Amino acid sequence: MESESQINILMVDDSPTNLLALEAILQGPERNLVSAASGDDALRYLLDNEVAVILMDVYMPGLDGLETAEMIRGRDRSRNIPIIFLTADSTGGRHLSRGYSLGAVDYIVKPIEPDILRSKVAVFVELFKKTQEIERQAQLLKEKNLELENANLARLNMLIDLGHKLAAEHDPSRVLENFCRSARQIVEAEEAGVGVMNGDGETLSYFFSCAWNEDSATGYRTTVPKSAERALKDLTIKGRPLRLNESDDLLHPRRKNSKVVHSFLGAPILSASKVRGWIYLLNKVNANDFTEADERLAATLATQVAIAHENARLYSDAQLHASELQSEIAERKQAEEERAQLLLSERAARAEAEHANRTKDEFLATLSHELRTPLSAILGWSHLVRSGKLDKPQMSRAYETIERNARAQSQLIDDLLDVSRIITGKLQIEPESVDLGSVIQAAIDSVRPAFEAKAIKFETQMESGGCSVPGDANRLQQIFWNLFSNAVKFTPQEGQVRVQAKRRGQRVNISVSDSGIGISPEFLPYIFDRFRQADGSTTRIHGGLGLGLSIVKHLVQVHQGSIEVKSEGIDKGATFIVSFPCAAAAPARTVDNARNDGLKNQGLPVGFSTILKQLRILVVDDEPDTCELLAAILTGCGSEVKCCESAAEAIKAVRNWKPDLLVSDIGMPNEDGYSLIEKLRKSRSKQARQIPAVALTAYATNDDRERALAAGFQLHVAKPVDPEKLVRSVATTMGRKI
Amino acid sequence: MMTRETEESRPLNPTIMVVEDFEDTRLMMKFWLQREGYRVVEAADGEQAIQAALREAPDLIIMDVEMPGMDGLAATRRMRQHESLRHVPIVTVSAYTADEYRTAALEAGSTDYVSTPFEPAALGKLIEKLLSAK
Repeated sequence: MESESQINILMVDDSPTNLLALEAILQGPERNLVSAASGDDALRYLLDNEVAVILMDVYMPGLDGLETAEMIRGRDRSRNIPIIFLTADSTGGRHLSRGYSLGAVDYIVKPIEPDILRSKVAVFVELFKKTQEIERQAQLLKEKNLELENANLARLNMLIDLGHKLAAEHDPSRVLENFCRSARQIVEAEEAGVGVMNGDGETLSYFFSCAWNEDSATGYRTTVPKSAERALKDLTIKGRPLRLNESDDLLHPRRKNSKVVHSFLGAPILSASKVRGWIYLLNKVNANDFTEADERLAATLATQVAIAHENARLYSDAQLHASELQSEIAERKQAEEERAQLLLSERAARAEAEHANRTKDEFLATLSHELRTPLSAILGWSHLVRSGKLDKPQMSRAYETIERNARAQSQLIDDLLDVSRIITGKLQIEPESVDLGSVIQAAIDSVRPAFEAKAIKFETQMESGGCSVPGDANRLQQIFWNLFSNAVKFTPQEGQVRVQAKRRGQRVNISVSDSGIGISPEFLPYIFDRFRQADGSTTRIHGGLGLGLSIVKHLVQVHQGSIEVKSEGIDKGATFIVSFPCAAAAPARTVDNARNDGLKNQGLPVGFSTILKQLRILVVDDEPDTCELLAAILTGCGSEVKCCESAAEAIKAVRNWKPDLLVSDIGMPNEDGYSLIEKLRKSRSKQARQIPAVALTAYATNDDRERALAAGFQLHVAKPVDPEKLVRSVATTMGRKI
Repeated sequence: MMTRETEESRPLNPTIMVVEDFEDTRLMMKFWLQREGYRVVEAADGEQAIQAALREAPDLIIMDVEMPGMDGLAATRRMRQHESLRHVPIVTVSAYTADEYRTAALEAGSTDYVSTPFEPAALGKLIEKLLSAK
């Protein structure tokens, strides 16, 4: 440490007195006076130490001053140390010339003038100091250079890195984002932003900014900082890089509360000599201003990004075209697939149509056969009777046979007519409350001869709980007659048929099981299809048209019922299960309270009993049974009901009884429901004009509905009456909550 | 239903076999043919018909098409395989009216095809014609 802050001055003299004298003269701050008593001492000292100047006595025993100087000069380390010789010989002589040749810088003749010595030494001390300073600065310079070189290398690396990134990136906005981040890092700015303008050269189509600490409040901006706005505008107009510091006017925001920007550097992003955007850098890190080098760098970067951005844009355009092309190909492919699918479904439809056609042909053949078979028996036997050659038992056989075949044919014709009605939607029922038990019994009675003839055990178990079904008694009987006949037809001699009726809540289920030939699983799904019979061949055992079950299914459905079939397979028997909703217990002529109690359980949900409370409802239907049924349903929901059997009666009742709602049948003799509602709507009475009205009819097509609404009804409810649906409709019309 | 010889038959009269599963029609045919003076043999299906034909050697067979088990066409084909039955006239009678049934019947080996309900007089004439041609 000492050697660095203090300057060594070496004094070489064999006389201690002289050394002391020199020391006394040269003493001073920052000086280290080193005494050497001989040349050897001096040389030894100089091996390890820097010395500013040497004061050397010429005459010394042993190595004299000149010899010592020679040796000093001989060493690299000490070659340039100035030496001042001290001599008593004023003339100098040969010492002098030799001394100078050895690099002496001065001679001082003894006795020494202290001032002269002091000033001469001071010159060399000063020289030494300067040299040292220069060396130190040279070293510093060297270090700085190295640092700069390193920094440049880092920038260069970052630039190369950015170049790679930009070249690899195909998304134009990612290009700009990467560029912005890298530029901020390379130029060492606190914040950077990049913007790309729309075609108008003013509004931005893209903007991205980043800051040195993206987590801080100065993180991402979504808009250009106010303080840079004017500078950027200027830059855009001029199309040249712009470098500003605090003193520049352009950097001073017009708004006072804007963030202060100390330094600004911006460069335009040019494409085809037009300014497409810009990059800006704010506040140089660890420095006041951006440098010219930064400016050049920013301009270079901006050029680089312009190219990269353009490339990426072209690439993404190309991608877009490619994807358009791809989607076009996909569309075409899909269209082709659709076409193929269409062809396939067309083929399937044709196959279906062909199948339907075949089924129809088969049916027609069967129909022809089934109609002709009894006919030929009838005609043949008639011929025999007419020939008059039959004996009495043969005659009675003839009559019996003719009648039986005529009946069979009549049944076939009835079935055909029913199917025709079903197909044309003309099979209607006149609903009334029908006691299911008696209907089933009647059906059993009519098939009794058949099952007795085959000695079939026919069991019944009726637990319908006095359930009535709203519907048509004849049609209901037809349902069961068909099911029972089938069971008997397909059950062998001495087989078994079992009929069970059971009440299940608001429904009644009737099952018909037999021990007959059963149904194959393959045919089971088609059992209710029209014109379908399990055996369509000429070897079939069982005749018939295959219409019965399709008619049964339809009839069950018009009665709001359901039907299903079960069979374990061929020869395992079959079970048909029919389910109907229960209606009123028994029809009665008058609507009295006792009747209403019975009606509260007619399949209406709990909570319906007061839903029409305090409403006066006028029911119009020419069928007294229907009137009764409707009245029972509606009074069961808490309303007051009046029944009329004609339109004329209804008009009077509207005037006198002032109902809240009208429920009217459409088809009535003399005057129908349309006429009734039209008259009411044209009436002078406001109440008659505005009374809500529900049309209730067996005509259930859309046209009927539209006609009813057009005539002035608010609502159209199809017959047969579904009590719940009717009540819901009425309640909704009257704004009651269900 | 077993085949049986009817009481009124006279051995010298031609024998006609009626193959028909529908009893009402079979009985009617029997009465009618008997009244016309023929000996009648009945069968209710194809299998029975073949056995009866081999046993009774009828002069003519009236064959229904639709029967359980073996139908009339199959029975006709089988009969034609027997030397003794190869040339017996077989009149196929069916409630099926379409031409394809007639064609199928003739292909199976029927001599003629009549669709029901038939005119007794016409069928009678056909029977006579076929028997005399024999």
